[in-house]
Amino acid sequence: MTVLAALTLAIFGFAALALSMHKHHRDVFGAPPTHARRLPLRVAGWVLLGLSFAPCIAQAGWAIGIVLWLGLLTAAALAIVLLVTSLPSAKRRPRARGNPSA
Amino acid sequence: MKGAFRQSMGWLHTWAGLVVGWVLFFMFLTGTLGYFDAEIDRWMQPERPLTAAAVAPAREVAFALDHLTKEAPEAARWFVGLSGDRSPDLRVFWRGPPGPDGARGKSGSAQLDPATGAPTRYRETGGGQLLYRLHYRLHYLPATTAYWIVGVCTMFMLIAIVTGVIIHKRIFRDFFTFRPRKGQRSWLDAHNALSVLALPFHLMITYSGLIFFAYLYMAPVVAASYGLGPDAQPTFFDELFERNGTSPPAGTPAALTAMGPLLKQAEDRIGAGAIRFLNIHNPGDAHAHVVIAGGTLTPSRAPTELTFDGTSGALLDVSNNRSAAMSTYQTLLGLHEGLFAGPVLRWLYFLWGLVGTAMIGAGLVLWTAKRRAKIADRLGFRLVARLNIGAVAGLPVAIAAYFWANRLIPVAIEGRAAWEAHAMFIVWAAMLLHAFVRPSGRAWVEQLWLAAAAFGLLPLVNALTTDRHLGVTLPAGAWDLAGFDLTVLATGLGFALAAWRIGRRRAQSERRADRAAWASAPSRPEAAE
Repeated sequence: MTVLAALTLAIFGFAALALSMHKHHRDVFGAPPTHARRLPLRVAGWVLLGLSFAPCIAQAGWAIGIVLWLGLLTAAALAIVLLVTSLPSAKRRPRARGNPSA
Repeated sequence: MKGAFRQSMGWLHTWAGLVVGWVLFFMFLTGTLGYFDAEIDRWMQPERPLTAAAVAPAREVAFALDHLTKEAPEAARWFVGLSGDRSPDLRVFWRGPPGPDGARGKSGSAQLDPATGAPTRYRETGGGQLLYRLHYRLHYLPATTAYWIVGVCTMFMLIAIVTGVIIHKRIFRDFFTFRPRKGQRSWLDAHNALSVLALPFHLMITYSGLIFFAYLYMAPVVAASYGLGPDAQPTFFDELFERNGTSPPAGTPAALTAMGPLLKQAEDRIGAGAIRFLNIHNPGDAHAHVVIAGGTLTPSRAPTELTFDGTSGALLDVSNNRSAAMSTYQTLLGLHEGLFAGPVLRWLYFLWGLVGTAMIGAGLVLWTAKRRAKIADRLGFRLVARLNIGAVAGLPVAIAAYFWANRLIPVAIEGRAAWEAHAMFIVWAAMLLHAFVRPSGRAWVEQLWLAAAAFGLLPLVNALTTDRHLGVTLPAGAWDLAGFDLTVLATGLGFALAAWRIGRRRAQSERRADRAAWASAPSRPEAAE
């Protein structure tokens, strides 16, 4: 159960970090992130990743917990890579005539 | 200067990786399977009872001592390994007294059924243990030779990792980047993603792998302190492992104290069911010592050890501290082996290992993808391309063959364990031959389909030859056994998917090439009439 919680936090953390990046935000929302959006997304991402550390230590102690956390991070990051890869690239989306950013 | 530095790091990364890439692929794949060695052992001995009931430690120790008293009454040391989660047998080992010339005493071992104390009678097999040991012991080679080969390859791997991080310019920006179906760029993205997402694991596993045999690779360091005489290495190890605690035998016989009270004291201290093994020094002698070890598993592999006087049963010492050097060493090895891992963490270790294996495979294929346009006709290129097929696609087929051999070689055959391994290497040789003989593109597709069949049909072979197939193991909740069949099935499906997509893309590009050739033909067929 705690493992699931840690994994979920890590997945959302990596999702936020991915969304704070130009290419991936554009693929999801059609336009790159504005300045106002980028910092909160970055902060949220790192905070969520940090939070996912606690359930791991609670579940398995410091020694094993750190290893468990790193393992969950890899799994979560892989999940996000597969997710953003499966999104159609915004570059190839059909654009409205005369509106280059649609 | 930065450009030249990055360029030379790039050159180093490519060559360090390429020269030993196939051996590393072998090491990573067999090592990764090693994380489930106990489960693979279990599947490869279907004669074992479906589920095993827990046995009280006192009973197991009694069985073990019965056996040891019969087999090795004059031994210098008895070892009793209690059955546990990942070791279903009661294991005993003994070492005889040293010979007159100081030579190590003879040793012997046995696996006993924890429920009856009788020696087990399951089919002779190397099991998952053999697969796992391949990754550092290789096969058909003397031990030291294998350790040196593996050590050189591991050193090159460490160089490849460090240089890889140096040359990866956009390591943060490209963290989540994977662009499929773009040829060479996709292979680069895959190689990068697999490397970066498991970077802590790759660094840990490679460095700790080197540490395992540090005493061999850095023998001059030991020699500098302990000299080069015949006693140098034994003295070094005795001091490192603090083995100077036990006294030599007195020569006067004395009965070994009852184990029950000692076991109870141990369990009181380290927890019920936490005893893992016992070492009995000089059994039956006045200077006998009993060391009971156990405790929860951690990366530092440090069991709590209770030392008792062997004749009176008095508690002499409780220890679980070691020198800082020893703790560091054992922690690194512990992280590498992952013996402490529970089910979730074990699957994560397995995932990490597969990521590492795929990283190496992607790197090898990337090398050919990058250079195909320019040097496809050169001997070096063709050698690399063919070896890639034989290693990346062929080795999985060989491993599946090992499992097929386990089910198909008759139980009564002498030396069947060795023949299971031979089957694996014979099939691998056949795959390498196939990779060199067939046209390159076709060889990939054919071997991938072969891998799909070899893994996908394994549960069927299991059902036809034993009664430990999914139809029995799933209802019984025997997850070790069912998990093997299910994983192997999923692997087969994965290979089938890969074979199908690569086959389709090849057919598409062949059709495109045909159309281009037809369109640019100098004369139309109609005009010839």
